[in-house]
Amino acid sequence: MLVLTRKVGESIAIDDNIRVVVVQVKGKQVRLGIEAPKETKIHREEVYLAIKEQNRVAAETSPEDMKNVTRLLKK
Amino acid sequence: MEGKKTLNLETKIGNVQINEEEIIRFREGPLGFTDTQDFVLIEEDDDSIFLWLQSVNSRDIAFPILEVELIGYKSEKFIDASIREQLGIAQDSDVSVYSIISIPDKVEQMTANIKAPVVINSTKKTGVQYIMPNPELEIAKPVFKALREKLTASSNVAGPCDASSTIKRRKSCVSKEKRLNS
Repeated sequence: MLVLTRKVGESIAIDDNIRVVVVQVKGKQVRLGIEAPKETKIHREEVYLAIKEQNRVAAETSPEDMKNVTRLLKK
Repeated sequence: MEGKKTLNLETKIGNVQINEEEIIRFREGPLGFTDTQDFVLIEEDDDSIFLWLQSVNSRDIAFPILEVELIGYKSEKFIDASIREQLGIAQDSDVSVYSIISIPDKVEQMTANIKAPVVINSTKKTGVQYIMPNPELEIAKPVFKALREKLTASSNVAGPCDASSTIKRRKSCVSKEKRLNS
C-alpha cells in the first residue's frame, strides 16, 4: 500500500480525474473530500462489506426457507 | 413460441424452461457475485409475493427478492440519472425495483436490503444492484411484521407474475406454467 503524508488542505490526485482532499483532522478522525466522475462508486468500506455479507446469506436461502416464510406471513 | 430459443434451466426450485430473451444481463452481478451476470426472474407460486433472482449459469445462486413497493417504498425513489444511464432506461415505467431479502432461522427476523436494491429494466433486460447514497436506507431492515400486516389486510395481493399484475412485470417473469416437473 502506498502511504503518503498530507496536511489539512492538501490533496492527492488519482489518475486525471479523481482528487482526494484532507478537509479536517480532529483527534482520531479525518474528514476527506473526494472529487470524482459521477460514475465512480464511492462508499464507506463497511457498507460494501455489509452488503456483500447480506448477499452471501441471501444467496444460500433454500426453497424450504422461502416456503416457511410464505406460510408464516399468511398466518 | 416460434423463433424463440428455449433453454432448460436447472434452478434452486427445480427445472424451469425459459426463453433466451427472458435473460437479464448484469454488467456486474450483485456484490460478492460480480462475475455472475446472467439471471432470470422466477416465480415459485402464483400467490407468493417473492421472486427468485436465479443465476442462469449456477443452479445454487438464487436470491429471494421482493418488490420494494410491497414494503412501502416508491420505485421512483431508487431511480436517478446514474441508474437511467447504466440501464438504458427510456421511461421509468420500464423499471422494477426489488429488495434482496435474508431469511434467518428465526423467520420473524427476516430483513430486506433497502440500501442496495436490485433495479431491473424489463424492456432492455438489464439489471444492477445499486448502492444508494442515502445514509438513512438500511441494509438489513426488518420487514416481517409490516409484510404480514399488509398481507392479512388485503388477502388477495397478486403475486408479481400474476396474470392480474401489470404486463411489464409479466414480461420479465418466468411464469409457473412454463415449469417442468422437477
